[in-house]
Amino acid sequence: MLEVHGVGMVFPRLRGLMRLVARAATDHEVVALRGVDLQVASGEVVGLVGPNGAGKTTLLKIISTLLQPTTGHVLVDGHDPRHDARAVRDRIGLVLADDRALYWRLTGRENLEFFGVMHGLTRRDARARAGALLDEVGLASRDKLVFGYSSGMRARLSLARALLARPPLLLLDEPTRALDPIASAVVAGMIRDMAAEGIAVFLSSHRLDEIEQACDRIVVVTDGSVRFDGAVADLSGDGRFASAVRSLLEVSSVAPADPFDGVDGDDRDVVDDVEVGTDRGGS
Amino acid sequence: MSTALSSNTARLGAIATRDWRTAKRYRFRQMLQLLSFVYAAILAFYVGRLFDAAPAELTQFGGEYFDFAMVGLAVMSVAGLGIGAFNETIMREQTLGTLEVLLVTPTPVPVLLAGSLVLPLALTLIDVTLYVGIGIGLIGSGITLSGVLLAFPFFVLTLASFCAFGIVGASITVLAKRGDPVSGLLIQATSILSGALFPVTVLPRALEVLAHCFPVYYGITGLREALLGGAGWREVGPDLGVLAAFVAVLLPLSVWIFGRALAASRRAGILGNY
Repeated sequence: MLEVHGVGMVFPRLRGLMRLVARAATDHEVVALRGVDLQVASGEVVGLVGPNGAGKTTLLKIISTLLQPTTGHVLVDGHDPRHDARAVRDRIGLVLADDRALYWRLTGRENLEFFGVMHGLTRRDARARAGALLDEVGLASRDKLVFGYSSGMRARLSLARALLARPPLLLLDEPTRALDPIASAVVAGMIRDMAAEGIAVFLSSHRLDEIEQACDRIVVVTDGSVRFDGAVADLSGDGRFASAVRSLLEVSSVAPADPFDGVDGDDRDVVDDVEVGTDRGGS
Repeated sequence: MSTALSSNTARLGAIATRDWRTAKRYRFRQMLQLLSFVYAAILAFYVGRLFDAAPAELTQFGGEYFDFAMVGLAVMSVAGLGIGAFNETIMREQTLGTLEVLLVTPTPVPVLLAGSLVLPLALTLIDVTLYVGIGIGLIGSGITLSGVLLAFPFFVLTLASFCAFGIVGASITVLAKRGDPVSGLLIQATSILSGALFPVTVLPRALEVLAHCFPVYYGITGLREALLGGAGWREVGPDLGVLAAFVAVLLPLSVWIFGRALAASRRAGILGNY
């Protein structure tokens, strides 16, 4: 369902007219991703793990057509966003880590109805789908203006929105960040159910328990490169999944490959734990 | 109706519904906006009473300053809509964090832009109706149905020309986030060079010539000739042609510029920032 081939992302140093008009997070070139390759099959749940600023959100935004990669390409169900972005958007549901991304002066139901139509549903279908999804995420009886929602309710509403058009590929950027343990377990269960229905799920998270529960495979990214791509079972065989992942992250941060490879001079910046906030793709 | 057309029509409706629901929850702001008509009409009415006899510059448009100013104020209202609506939408979506989520839906960008105009257009139509219908029709010298019909294409094309500038302004906002220089300057220039509140013939020659470079000049002249001067299609034809030519060039160009701005901000990774 999803193929990522050699994707690299360098946020350029803004020059000329762009530098005059726009403002980036840094004045330097930022290397966010370096030749990332991975696949997610239909019905598979793949977890994406890495330190803050490793390039996880950047990768999700590239897949969802919000960013244009510097090198490499992405295929979603065989469609390349460079040539047919609309076809890719028809096939994805996205949850961003930013919980502002809702209309706070609308109710949860009104938000879902609106986004349903924007995803191509008829008004009637959008209304029916919104009702069903609110039920599914446990918000049906608590519908009110979104500014009255807790963070957890907003996170659940964002997940419901991503499911509106029944996309075959779901991209989730820290979907349980604001959820309590019980609500997180509910979401993990929903993710498994979606995979059972054949939906491919690509899930970025810092919660290793969630990754272990919900995912079939794990991709570990540091410094914009894939350090590990394998079955969750390969790491949790001895019952120490979390420590196995942590040691992968520590090894990567101690001995990264040449971090400035391919970048000229001193005008460069590497996205890693130290440079939190320099990842312009991140929220 | 084709599937694409019906789903895009539904999208326009959904955006208008969203905006209406949101506007209803800011009631006080809407009330104040409607009251702005009363303020402007009173101002024009009493300025008009200063003139005992019609100034020579206004005879072409019926001779009454109040009527003349009502058309100008209606056009300024349309200018505010066309130039400001897109910018306001982009800034709002960036600040709310919804711009990226909208751009991930399969909704075409022109539909997103057009949708953001639907409710503001409806509110502006109320303004225009107040200025022309009540202002000229009831308080002023009166209007005719043929005049209104003749004014309609001028209204549409004038709005379209302002939209072109508004979309260019929104393109800058996509990149710069704040401080779009196009919209503010253009509103100021329009208030002077369009002849909204005084005929451009009273301006210095250089400014009068410059006024002819703005599409709004042809729009406002045509509207006045249609509504106040009793002109027919033959008389307003040349102005309509020039206005249509401006729109035919400016509108596609502005949408192309907006697409380029989106692409540049995707490459630079600044699309969702505000």
